[in-house]
Amino acid sequence: MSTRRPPIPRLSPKESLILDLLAHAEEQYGLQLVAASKGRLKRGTVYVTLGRMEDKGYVTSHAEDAPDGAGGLPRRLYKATPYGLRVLKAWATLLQHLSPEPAR
Amino acid sequence: MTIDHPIRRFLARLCSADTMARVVDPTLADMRWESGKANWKGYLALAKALVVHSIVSTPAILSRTWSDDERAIPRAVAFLIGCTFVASLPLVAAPLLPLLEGFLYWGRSGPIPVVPLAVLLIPQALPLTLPAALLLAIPLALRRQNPSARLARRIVALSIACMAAMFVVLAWVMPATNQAFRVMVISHLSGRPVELERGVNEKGFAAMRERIEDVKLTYRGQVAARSLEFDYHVRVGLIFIPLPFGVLGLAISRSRRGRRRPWGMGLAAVAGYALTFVPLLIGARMLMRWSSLSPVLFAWTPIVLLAILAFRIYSSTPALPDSSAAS
Repeated sequence: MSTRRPPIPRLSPKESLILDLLAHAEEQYGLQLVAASKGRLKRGTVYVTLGRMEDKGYVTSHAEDAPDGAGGLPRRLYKATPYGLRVLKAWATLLQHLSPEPAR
Repeated sequence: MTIDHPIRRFLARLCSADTMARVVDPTLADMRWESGKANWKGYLALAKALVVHSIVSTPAILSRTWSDDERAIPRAVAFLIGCTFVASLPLVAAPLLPLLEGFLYWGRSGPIPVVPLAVLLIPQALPLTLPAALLLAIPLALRRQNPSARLARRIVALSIACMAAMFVVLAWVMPATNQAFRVMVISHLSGRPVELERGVNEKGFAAMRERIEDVKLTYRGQVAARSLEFDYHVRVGLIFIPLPFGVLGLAISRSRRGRRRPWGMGLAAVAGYALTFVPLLIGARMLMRWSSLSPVLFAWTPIVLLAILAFRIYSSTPALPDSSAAS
């Protein structure tokens, strides 16, 4: 009986950037990530990317404690999962191995 | 930005709970924290996020639509294509058979291009057969189940897709194929390639409007212009027919009789459409000739009446409690 191998995790450049930013911080919300990316992430697409990453298990999220004032919307805080950090590390190693070496 | 903000409430009606939690609420919350009040950049970001989210999630939505509800939507599409094809056959054969007899009578040499001629005649049949096919396809596709609110929304979406198809057919495909059919027939009869000026049924919407304005300027052109105006608005109105017919199909599939005898009820609805709508249009055209009222009124009245009737029937057909009621 043949066993199906699990698919190899992939990281898009934006996902890689988000994981990199989250690896250096405890928890961040979308706008913080956009600000920290220095223009490489857009506020119109950051939550779509984060949602996709959550589906893949690279990040987890939770709503922060209810803000002051009744009915105010809480921000959503994101954190890299250990699996996400492992994928980031493996992806960085892979890219390092695949990049052409400088000619001597 | 609060939970009760009108924009959030509006989006909560449109979007799924998952989309609200992952895309809408975080973006709106950011706007609140960023400047204390909503600004246009935040709304722009929200609009962009929703567009991107819609595009990204389209394959998953299509996949779910395909497999949900015991594959009711793919079944409806298959029935729709089949019923449209079968219903188009007599409307293709009616003009084609006398023409073939004519070809034989004139005794032109060379093979008669039967298949290309038949294919070119299909688009002129579609504006009548596609909506009628909805009346049969929906009850047949949903015969095993009680349509849920989600399935009803998807059937309405299918009807809107049919409206888009009707628009493409009536605006571009039908005028082009009608003209190609005429050219092919005359070329075959004359034995040489010919060029023909386009008639009313061979013109798109813009060309038809231009023709109406030109005719109005001619001597005693008002009568002819009124007739053209009527044809123009009937053609525009036909685009919207699939929506009330989709709703009528849903009403049939919700009813006890429709679930027991989908074929019978569907065919009865198609017969009702053929026996009332076409005579109504003919009657409206005759009344328009005798009246000084706008032809727009006469063209749209049968279509609006049909839509009102369809929505009234739907609203007066209560949903059955569960599928076992039909068995």
